[in-house]
Amino acid sequence: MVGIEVYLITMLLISIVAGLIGSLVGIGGGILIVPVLTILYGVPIEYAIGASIVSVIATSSGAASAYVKDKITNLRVGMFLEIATTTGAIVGAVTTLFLIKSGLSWIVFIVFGSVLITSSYDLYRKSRIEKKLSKADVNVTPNKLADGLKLKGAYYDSVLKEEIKYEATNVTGGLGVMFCAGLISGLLGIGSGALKVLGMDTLMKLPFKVSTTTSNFMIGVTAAASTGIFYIGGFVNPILAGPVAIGVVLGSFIGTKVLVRSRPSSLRLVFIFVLVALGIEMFQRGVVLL
Amino acid sequence: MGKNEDLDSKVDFNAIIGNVLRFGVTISAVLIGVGVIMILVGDKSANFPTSLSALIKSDYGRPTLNFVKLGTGVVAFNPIAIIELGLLILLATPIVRVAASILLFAAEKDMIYVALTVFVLAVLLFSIFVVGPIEAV
Repeated sequence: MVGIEVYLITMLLISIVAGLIGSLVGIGGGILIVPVLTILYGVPIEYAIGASIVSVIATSSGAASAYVKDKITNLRVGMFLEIATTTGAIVGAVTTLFLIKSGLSWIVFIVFGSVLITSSYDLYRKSRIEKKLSKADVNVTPNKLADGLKLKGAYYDSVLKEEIKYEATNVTGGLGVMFCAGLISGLLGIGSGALKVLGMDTLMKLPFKVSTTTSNFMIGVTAAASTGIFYIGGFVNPILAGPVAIGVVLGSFIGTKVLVRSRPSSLRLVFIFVLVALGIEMFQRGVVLL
Repeated sequence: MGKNEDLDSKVDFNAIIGNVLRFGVTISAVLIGVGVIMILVGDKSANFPTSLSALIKSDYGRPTLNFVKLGTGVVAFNPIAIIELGLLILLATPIVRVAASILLFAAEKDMIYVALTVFVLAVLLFSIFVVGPIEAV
């Protein structure tokens, strides 16, 4: 098996690449960490999840520190929905550890494989229709619950060059999706940002930009709920998690700051294939363990 | 309407929260980086695991869960303790952000959101101090 020194160096480089690609194609790099650790290094999946979830906090806090000033992130929407994401994350983490202790880790592999393949499809769909803000997609009709909870706001859209007012709709549906997003995050050690954005943008009819920045803020708080459990449970090994955390942060920092802010479509295509390949591999692992 | 005052008081708080996050991520990345480099170049004790499988079976990298032990480890320049401190600071950043948001909402006298945010903070602390120990092996 791999030596410690070799692991530290190679995993640091892989994590930098994961963070870099993640920020370039607009998907969290965290989704690559568990497959790499389990398939490439043979790390038990509970330790892989523990290492991955820490890096998810790191990327979210790093990104959120850049976003808080922009006044697009809606703190109230984020905080309200975190009630659902954090409780979901606890249920997810407890479920994963229960499955693994009961010798049912194949379920975790199969769910992970399915999420990888779903993400690749989501990315493929996004690559075909570039998301532009259409005012028809934003809810402005007042609704009682959203009014009471002040789940509304306004921001200046730099593309449309005007102030966009919005108000959330389908608040309970949104909470349900957020519970699922938290559950998957805690179950698999990923950020599940795509599902959070889907809940806010498609279901609650919030502007896409508000959804993505608010989701970024929520990912870290959600991940903290399950990280606490994996950490105290003894599954966040500093030697395993250390290079992953700094690698992913460095990679996404390079991705957002140093490189151009475009999202090359060929890179996205490669990434879609990587996600499918890893998804199939995780699926097979699950079937073998069955 | 008082809405602008609202926004102005928010800007300062947001700047502070942004700095807390940035500082937390930076300091933890530095600590983790130092620890990793120390493992790569430093002398290791005879029972330091040489492979990943040995690492997982060994006690190396098991969280100490003891602040005194962690503190003495960091002071003694133990690389694993230094990485662990970095990871703990990372875990603390979102929790600090939630706690700071309580003050933000309190300053705006928005008691519904003070209550909601206290609930989120309680869930986070519950996961660490109640669920975590139950799951510990």
